[in-house]
Amino acid sequence: MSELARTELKRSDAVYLGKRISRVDGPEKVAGQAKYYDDVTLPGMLIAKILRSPVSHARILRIDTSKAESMTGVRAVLTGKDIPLRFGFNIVEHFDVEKEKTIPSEEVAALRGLMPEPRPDKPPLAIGKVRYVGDDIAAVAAVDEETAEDALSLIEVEYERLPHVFEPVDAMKEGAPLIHEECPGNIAAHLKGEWGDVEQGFKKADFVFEDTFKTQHQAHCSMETHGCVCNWDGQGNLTVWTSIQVPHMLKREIARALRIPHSRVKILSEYVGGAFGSKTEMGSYHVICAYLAKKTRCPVKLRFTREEEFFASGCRLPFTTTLKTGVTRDGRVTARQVTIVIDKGAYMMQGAAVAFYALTVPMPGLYKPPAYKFDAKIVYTNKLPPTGFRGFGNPQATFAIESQMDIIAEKLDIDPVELRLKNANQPGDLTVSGFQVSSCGLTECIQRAAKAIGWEEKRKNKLPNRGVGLACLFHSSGERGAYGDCDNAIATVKMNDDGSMTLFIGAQELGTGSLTGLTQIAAETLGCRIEDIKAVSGNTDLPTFDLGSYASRSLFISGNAVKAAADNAKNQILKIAAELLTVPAEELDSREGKIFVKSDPNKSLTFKEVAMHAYYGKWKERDMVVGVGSWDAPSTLFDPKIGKWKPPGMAATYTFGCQAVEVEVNPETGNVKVLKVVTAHDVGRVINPTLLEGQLEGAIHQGLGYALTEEIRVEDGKTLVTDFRDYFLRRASDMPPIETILVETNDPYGAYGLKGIGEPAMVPVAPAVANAIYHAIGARVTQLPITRERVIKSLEKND
Amino acid sequence: MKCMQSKLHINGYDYDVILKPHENLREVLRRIGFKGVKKSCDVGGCGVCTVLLDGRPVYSCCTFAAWAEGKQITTVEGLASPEELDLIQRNFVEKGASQCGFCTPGLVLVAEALLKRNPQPSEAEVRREIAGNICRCTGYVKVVDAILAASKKR
Repeated sequence: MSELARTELKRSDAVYLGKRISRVDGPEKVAGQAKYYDDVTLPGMLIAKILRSPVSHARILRIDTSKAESMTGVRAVLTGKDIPLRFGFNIVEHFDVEKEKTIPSEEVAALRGLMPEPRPDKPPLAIGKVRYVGDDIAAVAAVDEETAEDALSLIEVEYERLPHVFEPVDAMKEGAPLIHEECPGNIAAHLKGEWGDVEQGFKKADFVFEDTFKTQHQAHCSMETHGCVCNWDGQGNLTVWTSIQVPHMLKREIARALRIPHSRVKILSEYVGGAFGSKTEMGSYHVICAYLAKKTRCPVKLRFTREEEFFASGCRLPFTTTLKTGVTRDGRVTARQVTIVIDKGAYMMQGAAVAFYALTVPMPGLYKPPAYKFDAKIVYTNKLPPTGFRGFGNPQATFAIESQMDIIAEKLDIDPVELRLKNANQPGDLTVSGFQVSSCGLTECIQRAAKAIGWEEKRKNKLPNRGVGLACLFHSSGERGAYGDCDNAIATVKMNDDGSMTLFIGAQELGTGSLTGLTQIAAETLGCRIEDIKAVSGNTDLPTFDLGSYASRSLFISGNAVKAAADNAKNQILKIAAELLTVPAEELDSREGKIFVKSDPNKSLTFKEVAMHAYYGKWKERDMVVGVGSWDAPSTLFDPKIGKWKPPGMAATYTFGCQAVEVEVNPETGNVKVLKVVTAHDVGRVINPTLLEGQLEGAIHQGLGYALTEEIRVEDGKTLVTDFRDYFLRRASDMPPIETILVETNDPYGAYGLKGIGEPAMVPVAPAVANAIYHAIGARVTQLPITRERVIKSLEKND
Repeated sequence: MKCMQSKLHINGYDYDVILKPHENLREVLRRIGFKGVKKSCDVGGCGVCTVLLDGRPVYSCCTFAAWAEGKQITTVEGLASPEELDLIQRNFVEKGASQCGFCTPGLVLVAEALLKRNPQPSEAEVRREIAGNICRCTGYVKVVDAILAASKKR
């Protein structure tokens, strides 16, 4: 932090920060000119399709691909034997060599016993057996889609059916069929820990509450489905056009899977059509497509259909959470204990990391219990494998915490707002796990959200069947440990020979607006005009690096990298200008495209004049003006010596917020109508209100779906949802009014005080809705989604 | 499999095209190069493939290409270039109605058709009109804002 002297900037001085700047990629998007991976068409390109398992659990006795191979138009068929490797999140294991781990092993060792090691359990194409309906078995590349599909039907597979298991409770029983032979009890990971003295904490409590909450499989529903186009050139370089949140990490994983140097893989991902956590890791499809392209020596495109998207691209992990909380008579939390069982489906993917986040961030974070104990089992079943999804385990955890807070409030006869204010996190707080809160506006968020929904009036003079409820959140900006002891990014700024600037960014634009926010930060820091900056990203050949756009980190981490790069470039520019103006560089500054003498602003130059001098004039050094900037968050890894984190913990900065919801419930039908949502967030500092509001509003759309309608229904291990007719997403006509409240706390770590805000608004929607329903008609629903049936059942339970 | 020779009128120009049997309009338009016609659900459930047929929005994934013969087909490319956006597109950009951008061409076209038919729609009318188009990013707030703002400026 020390090397990054923070430019303090008064709001009134800002040229671009805090302003409603239109997104830089807006014109291309509204004109239909933005090119996504599926818009790439190369000469001779083939289309690939994957043959998927029709059975839940079976040994593959025989695969005969000969008929498919001899079909006209088919160029290649692959099965498991052609790709002898297994992979998992952040790990690739080749069968013929030693494990190629991608995390520095010492750090993994440090985490052992708390966070499980990544598990390479997924062969890109089935080897030996299939583990869920939809598992990848074989792949075909053909001249067109129809031919590829026809060829799939010609592949003969002989199965020996094995007993299957669909529910985690059954999977853990003795004698249950083993889905991965090396995992007894089908337990993919078992996470346990305790901070503080929980037994003592419960003793100090006047009341102890214990409740169980269940959540469902929620689909990301990115409008652009997963897929890629792979092309090898004559020099052995592989180019992959794909839709990904982590291009640099994907480059690494694909290079490891193919055993070629990282420099030989180029990921192109300029435009991503929605991701929400589902595009944070290499998929089987990437490896399959690269192998097919290699085998056929043709470019190959592999695109998921919407149906495949529902079962093969990951979804939100379903949690069964039993939460035990001790409180004093006056409403102070004394201890929290949580037991979670997670339905991991057939493969691990990011399962352990999601569970780990839920267990270590919101659970010991929100309302800072002084003692906390956790026990979570991640259990394999013969079902679709879920993965990370906006909030990364936090919505599941917060549904339990915040639903129970209202149960506690009622029992203690304390107003839910008052109970939350009493326990609210404050700046400087240290959680029991070792997370230090830098800035925190939770109290103000609660107060303002309550006021905006009309809390006092609506609780005092309750209308029949109407209710208001609220819920809070504790999240992080960034997350150390996903890829080792780092949470970093590198950005580069280059001045061109006409004084315009090119900004190379490693963070991936997903639609969140990070490219625009980072351009604003660059323009403000450089003092150039924003229209003179061209931001380039989504290309791993650029001189940048970034772990990726996940964990609400892109503007938080890359923002500091861009600022450092811009500061660096600006110093070089001022040095050149100093020669032209014959004053020391220290006496110069720049703003809105002008470089001027601070004491005499009329003495000034344009960036173009400086560039002309540097490239074509008398500037002797003739260096290209290139500023490189990097930033690694001052966060920490879990320290096994002390059994917790050293401050500030997993992230440098934590985010807070409160949402309040008003609903009207029909007690006859159980129908819930959401009348209004207020979402109040500690955002650190607003960089662009339009984009910020967009993040909050979009998250509420997903949160309301999570709360009320969205579920990938699975029956007998088979995913029943095939398209949007079976999966209920809210349409424009179903959305309630949303009021956004932005609370600024000027965080000491984020560039210009900002915090990450991609995920937070997704987190508390479901418990806020559940609490409002309870207030409306006295139905406490503890399972998501809160369907009409569950509302009615819960009412009947009261009778 | 017998293909069919056809002529399609797209964005003001005639195109001679070969249609495969039962081929949908989306695939044909994308093959010619109109990649602004997006591909997502295949069954008329999401609206990203929306195009205008004689000024009316249709899901091109559920429209036989042959059926569009003799009709005026408008894709997002037919509206304007990124340098000279039309009023609705400009408002989409200014109001932040586009995030990942994948649903945007479809929504823009639906808005164009709506405002042509009903230049001053109410908010409820706008929401009803775009209910056939899914956006997973924006929560629709800024999309509705943009369409209403464009209608006021007309």
